[in-house]
Amino acid sequence: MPKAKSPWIHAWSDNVAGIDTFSQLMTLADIKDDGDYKLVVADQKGKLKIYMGTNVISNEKLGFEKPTALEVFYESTKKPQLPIIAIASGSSLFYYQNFQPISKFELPYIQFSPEEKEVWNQITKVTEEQEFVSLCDRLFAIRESGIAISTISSELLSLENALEQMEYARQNYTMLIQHQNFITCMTRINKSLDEEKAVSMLVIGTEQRNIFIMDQSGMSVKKQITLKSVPTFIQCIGQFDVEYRIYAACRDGKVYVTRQGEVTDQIFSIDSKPVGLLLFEKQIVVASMNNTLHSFFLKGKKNFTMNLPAGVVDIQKLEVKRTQQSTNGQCLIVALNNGELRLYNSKDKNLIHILKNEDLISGMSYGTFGREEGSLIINNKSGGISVKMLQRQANLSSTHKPGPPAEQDIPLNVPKKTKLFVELTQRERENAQWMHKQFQKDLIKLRLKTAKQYIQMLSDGLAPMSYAQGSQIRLSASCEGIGPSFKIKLQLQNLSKTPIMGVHVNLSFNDQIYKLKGKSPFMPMLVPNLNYKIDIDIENIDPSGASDVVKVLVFNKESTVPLITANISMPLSELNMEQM
Amino acid sequence: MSLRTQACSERPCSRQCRSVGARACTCDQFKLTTLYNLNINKEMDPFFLAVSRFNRQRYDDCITICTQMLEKNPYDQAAWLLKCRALTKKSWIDDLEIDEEGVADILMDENAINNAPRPGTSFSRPLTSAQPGGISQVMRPMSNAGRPITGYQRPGTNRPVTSSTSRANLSTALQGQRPGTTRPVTSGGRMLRLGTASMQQQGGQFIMADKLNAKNVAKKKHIAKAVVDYLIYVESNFRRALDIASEATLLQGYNDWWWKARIGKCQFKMGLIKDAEKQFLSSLKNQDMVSLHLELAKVAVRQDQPQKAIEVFNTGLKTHAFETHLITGIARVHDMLNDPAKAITFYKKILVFDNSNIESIAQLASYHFYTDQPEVALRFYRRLVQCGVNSPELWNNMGLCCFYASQYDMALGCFDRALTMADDIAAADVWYNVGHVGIGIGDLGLAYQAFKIAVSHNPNHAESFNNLGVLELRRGNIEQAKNNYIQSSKIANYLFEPCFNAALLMLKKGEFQESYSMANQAVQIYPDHADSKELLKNLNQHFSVM
Repeated sequence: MPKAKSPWIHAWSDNVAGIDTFSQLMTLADIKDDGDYKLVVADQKGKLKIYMGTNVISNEKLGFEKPTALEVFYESTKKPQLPIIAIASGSSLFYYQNFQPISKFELPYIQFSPEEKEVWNQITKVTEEQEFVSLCDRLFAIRESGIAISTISSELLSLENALEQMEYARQNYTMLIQHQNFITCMTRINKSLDEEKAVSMLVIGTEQRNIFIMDQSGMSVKKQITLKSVPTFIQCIGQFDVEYRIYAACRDGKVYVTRQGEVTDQIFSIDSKPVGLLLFEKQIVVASMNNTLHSFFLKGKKNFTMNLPAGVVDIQKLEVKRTQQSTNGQCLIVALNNGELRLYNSKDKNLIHILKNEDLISGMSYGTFGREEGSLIINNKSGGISVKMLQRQANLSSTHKPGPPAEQDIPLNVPKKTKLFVELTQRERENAQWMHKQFQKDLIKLRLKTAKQYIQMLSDGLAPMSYAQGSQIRLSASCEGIGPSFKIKLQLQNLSKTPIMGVHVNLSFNDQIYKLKGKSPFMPMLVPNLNYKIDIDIENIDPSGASDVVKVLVFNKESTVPLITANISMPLSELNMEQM
Repeated sequence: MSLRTQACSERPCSRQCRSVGARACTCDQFKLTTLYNLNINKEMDPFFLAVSRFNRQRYDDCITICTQMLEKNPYDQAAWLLKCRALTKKSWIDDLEIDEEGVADILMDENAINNAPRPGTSFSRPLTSAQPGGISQVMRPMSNAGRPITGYQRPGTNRPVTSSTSRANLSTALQGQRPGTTRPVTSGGRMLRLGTASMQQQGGQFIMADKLNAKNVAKKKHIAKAVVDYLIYVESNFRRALDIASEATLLQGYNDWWWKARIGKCQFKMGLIKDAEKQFLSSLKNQDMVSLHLELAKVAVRQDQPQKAIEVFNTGLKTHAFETHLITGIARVHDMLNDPAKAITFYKKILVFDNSNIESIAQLASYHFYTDQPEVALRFYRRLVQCGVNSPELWNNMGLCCFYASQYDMALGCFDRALTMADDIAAADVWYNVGHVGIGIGDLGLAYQAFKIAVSHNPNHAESFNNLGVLELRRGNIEQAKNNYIQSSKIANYLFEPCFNAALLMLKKGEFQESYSMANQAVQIYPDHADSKELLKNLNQHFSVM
């Protein structure tokens, strides 16, 4: 992880701003045309707030709920250039200028397809159930053939009962013929000049798979484009009067490209739903829901796919225009839902910096705020708002080289082969035959010794596992205590399939040193696989607390050889205080 | 994930050499003037004979002669003094070396110690493998107290020293693997027992400690010294010794280093560590003695201040530049902090001054063995043989070194010799290593038998159980493999291998919950174990999918 100095300077924050919004509802604009950029935020709760520096200079109540997008555009070049703030909600656009609402635009209603219209015309006249059902089937066929049907039609089809359907049709038939179109996203495109404050037009994406390009006054639709899916993010490049392209990231996980208002064949597909789309000079960057970031060259080739440690909340473009060539750069700000704010170099996808935000980020906006060019406005989940500024001297070139991680080049700490080792191998080479013979001889001897010992162990029935008399018994013995009283803890387990009857446990020890308290235990039966815990109290009676080995013998009537034995080497005993 | 034979790394059992009396007696302050008897008798003067016996370290003979003399004349001060000295000498032990904190001392430790010390500044939080210089648990196996195995076994080397964490493994502390290595209940208690035991041997008390008048004894300078030593080393009656010593130091005008050192020693044994430190420091001002530096370092170690202990040793080294005991002390502190690479430099330094220092050679050998240079380790072990050490552990280690340095013609011979010499507990370790040889040459039958024999010798041999589990699994006995893993992890809560193996087995059997808990246990024991982490990650994924 790069340890470079943070490129961000914390400017100010207001943790109790109480703003609940996301990136599409935040923008930075020169509202008063005085060169002092304001923050325009539309709140989900229905407020339009404008920040100048740290102060709220306007807190307008919106007359509607749930704004979906906010954009700023210029109607004319007349001085003073006051931009129009457009807020989309439902199917309407609300315009504000100079802190005041000025007008409203309703998206044109969508006309029914002729086929659907025809069906509905017949439905109203039908009274018989049989006929009604066949009409519904036709409606269904229309939908299946790929023609968009209205929400009323789909509602009708979703009802199960034919009677209910007829009732529904009778009630809703009046509001037929046309239905509403909902706005999903919004951006703007310059009309003829590539300048920041040039005359611009709104570009709107809708639920009905349409893209509308409005005229500069925002009161009429200039162009309508139909896509294959619902656009959720749109970005434009170029000028409307010259040449322009629109990139729309859609719900089907594809980015469609339109050139001059015509849908092209070019499609960038990502394997998940998009959560952000950015347009750079030569590439587009799409963030998707499966924690990945994709980048494509505008020509169509894929640049990279990057996996991120957490889900992406939002991505923003960071552009620095400086006189020094080396510090010029375009970066990518990625907000993750683990609270991290990452800064990537958009060219070589290298991580420049990770900022740990104390709260989860819900929205952000990068641009000029006040007179500071590189400002990042962050809206937190908890409603707070904070402003960070990009250091003027910030090094935005990547801190580490591309390619494999540096750790790969660090050699492992393998000790060198010593001179001694070389000498030994020399010896090995010279006497290979003899050494091999000797080794084989020793090995056979060792095997014999092991086998003998093993047999002896089996026949003695030594702990912890014994197979004497064909039984399988496990015995683990331990001693607890510090003396002079000890407790010998035994665990007996019969691992065979049949129970073992009449098991005695006996201790064998030096009676000069130890004395048994109570009797030797007797187990009438050992049920397979149960763990029998036996505690035996034993006392050290040696005056100096000497220690010795205590033998535990487990046997039953069937053989003179014990089932299993264990040796416990007892610890030194503490002295009995009473004797001293 | 592949099932690999995660055999616990082979461990040469630690050497068990105690260097009791390795240090020349540093407190031999008495010059017993030999009284020449000019009478030309046929019989030799008994006192002369006794002194001669004393000088030849035949203390028992000396004591009997003195007893006879005292029977004739109970007021014979010379004989009394000589007997007192002889008794002391007989049971004199180098308590600088073998002091060990008792269980009760740990439990009732009232000194508050920082709960979260920085790694490397406390024995309770030594370096782990994550830190540079730390030891990887894969490369170097752990002893039963969760410390890396050292090449040389001293009381306390393989145990956690003071600290709250060691309270958790109180039961392991009480359960020594070798007879007599259980941690004593109190350090004083063991002394006391040794004291009473020796008194019973000699039949009755020599000095009635309770009837002594401290002031009167203190006035008789040399006798007082002998009496205090007797009380400390024979009777372990520190309280009484302290009374006399404090009177004596008062009479000396607080100028005699010896008395202050004795006061410090008594206070240390009684657990008054801070007071003891003051006495030692003040004593050091009177006279710069090596033993005082060692005592001070002991105080620092008891207080869980390794850095301070090293500092103490270093100040000692300024005046006693060639004192190997001080260097050994530094090396041991580094060892206890799990920083063997640093410790090794000091062990090497010791060998410059004392080229037959058993501890240094053994430590160097084990260090080289575990850093994958068995051929170098072999050299050091051969040097140990030259020094006259002859123990099953040594032969076992030589066998392992030969095997791993591919000197096959000698390897098995060494094991054979180790097996013939070994007692029960050592035999378990040797058989365990034979099992490893079996795995190494692919003779799994041999390995299986050897591990079985190992557990029969020592039912608490957790490493063998783990390896048996792996072998059982290869034979397809899943249930037995599982039993073995669980047994192993129960016996030894410091081994991560059985936990990991069990987790892997459970995962394959589909018992995810158990697998999860075992894998967690493995990670707790060895936080950097990559395989366990991987397994946990897999399990987490599995759980989140379901």
